[in-house]
Amino acid sequence: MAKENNPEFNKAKEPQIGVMDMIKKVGIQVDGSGTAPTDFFVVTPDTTTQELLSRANLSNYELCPSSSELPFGQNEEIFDKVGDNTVLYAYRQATVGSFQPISQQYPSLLDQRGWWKDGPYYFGYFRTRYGSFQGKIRERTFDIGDFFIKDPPPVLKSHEHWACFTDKGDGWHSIHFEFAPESMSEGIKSIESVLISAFKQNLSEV
Amino acid sequence: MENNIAACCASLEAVNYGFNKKYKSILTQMECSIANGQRNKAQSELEILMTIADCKRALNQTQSLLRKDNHKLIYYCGSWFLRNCLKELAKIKEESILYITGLNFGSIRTLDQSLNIKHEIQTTSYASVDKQDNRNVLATLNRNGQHLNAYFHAHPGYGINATMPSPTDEELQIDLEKGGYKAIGGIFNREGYVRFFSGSLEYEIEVIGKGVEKIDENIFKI
Repeated sequence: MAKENNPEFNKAKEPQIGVMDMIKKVGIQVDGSGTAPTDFFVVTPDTTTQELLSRANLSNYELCPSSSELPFGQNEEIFDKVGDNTVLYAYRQATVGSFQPISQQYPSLLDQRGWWKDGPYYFGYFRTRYGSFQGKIRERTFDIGDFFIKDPPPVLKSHEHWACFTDKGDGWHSIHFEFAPESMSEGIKSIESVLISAFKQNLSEV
Repeated sequence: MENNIAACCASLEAVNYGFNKKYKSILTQMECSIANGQRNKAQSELEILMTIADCKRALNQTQSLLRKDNHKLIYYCGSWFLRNCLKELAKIKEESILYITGLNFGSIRTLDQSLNIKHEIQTTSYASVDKQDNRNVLATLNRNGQHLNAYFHAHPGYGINATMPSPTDEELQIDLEKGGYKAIGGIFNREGYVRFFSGSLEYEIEVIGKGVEKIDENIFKI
């Protein structure tokens, strides 16, 4: 039998995954503690930062590739990001006191402007110092939604963004964004800015 | 006592030798399993290796504890330095944290230098240091061969009881000790009481100089 047809020969030709390709050893240095880096933490391709820190009994620490680099994410798999026999750096953020403040929730522009939800639509007004204009936003699953304005002011017709407004009947116009807003509030803010800009432009032309 | 510690260390060394032999033998077996394509076998051998590595680490830590750290730490601090720290902490009504370093001579440590650190959050009842600045300060300490010997902060309220550590303070202390820090906490209040505390770290604190009265073992009045 030719060598090439021999399964044993072909098996031997296949690239072998060495054990050192599957494991790495890393040390962890806790800066400022005065202790030498611990050694012998085995890292495999599915080892995450959290798991490694937990094995090192440093659960509330953050782990950095070096003392001058930003920390790894808690669920980040670090195998490809560390070398064998390298030292990683662990830091504990000092926190003291009785009550951790809850981050203050500021009302969104959607709330500030008093928009309300009815079925798949949010209804409300685009409010500017030149007047308020009825609007609605159709909620969608995969993006922020479709924005509409009813009876846009005539000054808008001479504005550079008028082409973004499409008549949909009954006075309603859909609004197209060159860059999709990241939130409904951002969309409302953008439309109000265009309205203000159109009014300002009209006033300057007078 | 010292003979007992030496005997314990010798026994642990023998166990460590056994672990090393076993580690090498399993590593060889795992290489064979991988070469023969026995994925499940290699996986279970890898798990054994990781367990042995964990055991070895625990063993090393125990040996280290037995060999070096069987002495109570003694911290020395000057009364002038304590007064300056109180002034610094009482400057604003929000909580703030001071990192303290000093000299280390074996089990003797001094608290004589406070380090400025930026804060991420500061309210009247809570403070956390800025993560980036925390890394910078601790890395600088390391580069200079110095250690974090203590960290101070102030609590609102009056009387000695206002200096009791909160659960957040205790959690920080325990985490620091897990990381190998030999640092104690110090909690001040605006009346000038200061309480030192630790988790499982055994220590004594001596305040040298005038103007500071010792109220209790780890409590002083500036």
